[in-house]
Amino acid sequence: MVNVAVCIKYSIDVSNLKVDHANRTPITIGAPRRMSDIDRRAVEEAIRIKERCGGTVTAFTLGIPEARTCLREALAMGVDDAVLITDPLLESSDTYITSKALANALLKLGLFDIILCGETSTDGYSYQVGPRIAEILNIPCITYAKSIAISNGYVTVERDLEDRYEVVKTQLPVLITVTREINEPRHPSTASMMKAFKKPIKTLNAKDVGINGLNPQVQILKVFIPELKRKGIVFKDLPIKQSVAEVVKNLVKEGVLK
Amino acid sequence: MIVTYSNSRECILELISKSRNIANTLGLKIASIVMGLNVSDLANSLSAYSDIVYIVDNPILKHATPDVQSSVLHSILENVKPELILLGGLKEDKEIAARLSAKMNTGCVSECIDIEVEKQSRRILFKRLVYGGIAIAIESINSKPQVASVRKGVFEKASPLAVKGEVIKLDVSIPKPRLELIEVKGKEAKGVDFESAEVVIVGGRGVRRREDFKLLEELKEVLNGVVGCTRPVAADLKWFTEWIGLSGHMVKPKLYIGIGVSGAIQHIAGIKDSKIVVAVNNDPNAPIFNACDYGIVGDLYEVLPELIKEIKILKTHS
Repeated sequence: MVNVAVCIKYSIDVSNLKVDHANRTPITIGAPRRMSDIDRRAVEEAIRIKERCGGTVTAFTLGIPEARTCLREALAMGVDDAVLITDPLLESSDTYITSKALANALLKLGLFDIILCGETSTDGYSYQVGPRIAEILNIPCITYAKSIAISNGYVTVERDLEDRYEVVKTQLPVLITVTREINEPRHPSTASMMKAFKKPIKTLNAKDVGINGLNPQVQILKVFIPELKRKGIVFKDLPIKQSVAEVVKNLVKEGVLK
Repeated sequence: MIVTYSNSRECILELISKSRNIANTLGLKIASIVMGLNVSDLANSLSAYSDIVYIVDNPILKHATPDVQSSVLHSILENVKPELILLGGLKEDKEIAARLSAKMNTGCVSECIDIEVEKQSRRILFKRLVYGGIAIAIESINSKPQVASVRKGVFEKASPLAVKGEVIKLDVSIPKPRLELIEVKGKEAKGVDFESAEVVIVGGRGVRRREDFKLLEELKEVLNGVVGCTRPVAADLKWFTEWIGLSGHMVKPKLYIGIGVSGAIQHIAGIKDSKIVVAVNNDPNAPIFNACDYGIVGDLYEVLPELIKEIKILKTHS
């Protein structure tokens, strides 16, 4: 039996993010959101561990009230319990506050053998929350996992680094961050989606997770969209031979082809 | 003091070069930390670039993981008390940055693409890519020390100082490693230097078979460039182990040619510093056509041979 916790983020769906062209800023208020792609793999991996070893899976998220959407999805995939940490005080939370809140919620909800996180979120790309939680809980941390095996209270993980794979082993409890390549997540059926709607979601606020009164340590001063100065000359109606000749001619003119 | 650390010597030199501007403006010294087994050569070579090099040489550190490395750094930095700690862009560097910040209870900005000092306030501004790379955030840290990791290959490498820096040996207590390293497997044939290539040719999902990449190789030969692929081709189809894009290699060639690349925003972010972007795709609505200088709507299997032929003719005439 292994009790697994998985931390997921209700991320901004960057491929559908609208832009305020006049001010060159992304429109983040009310932007479409979904479960971060890499976190979805963490949920899948948590469920696979449960299927192999027995035990339970609890999903945690910190975000706006609508973040319960991604918890419902996790429940439909096969997660047993879900916890939403939400509070207006948390709206400008940085990785310091997020990891502290998640670590405190994890402690509050019980003892987990394995805590899974995505290596990074697909909107913020900070790579910080997983390792920070491990530090706060003072447990071993294994990052960038591409496979996880568990036996006799130990976990063996293959890590995917730039120039090599590393196989490392440690004793439970452990926090593991997973890569996008670790698995192919399942699609929950409509029936399990319906069932997930009936499951309770536990809600915690800033006070419950002991972070009221904490200020973010990182301040976002400005977010802007840099101007992409591309010429956008696209040949589409010419015969291929002619299109190619045009492009080559232009590349010579640009000085990138000699 | 500004302290730099990375598991890669190249990254350290990039960190030092970026640190110099900040150090000059704020009147700070630059230190590097080196740890491992028999690393005095590395420490000595870095003293040509850094005012101070702290070295911890210990057999336990031979295959140290970020678990141990961040603890060792923490012990050193508690005494050194730097203003700013800069970590490199390796995956392990990013883990160390996060853990060190948690240990020191301070803020950290990841994957910076620029760091500068605001003139009047003398506040340090950290620039990074957010939202899949379409936007840039400017951030500041209001806790001490300030910690940041820096994207690999963004900054120039430092040039040597006129006067060599000082190498200081430290005796630091090293915690018992919690991770046991069982095996290390090298990845096959790396060695393509995407970051400094002048011509980058990228194949996307439009390339139907792995063996069709030989067409791209042929174009590469003519243009004296390198061939890469997009994330789905590497990560999903597993044809290659590395890819071009925000989560892979960020390139800045004079000429980028995308073949059958649709142009996901994370890919566009990874090629944004290219001088000229050329796209070939049979889908006129492919997003890459909104982010290219020159585009050809057409079947890559017709366009590519024609392109190779045209360029060959051009080369023989010049």
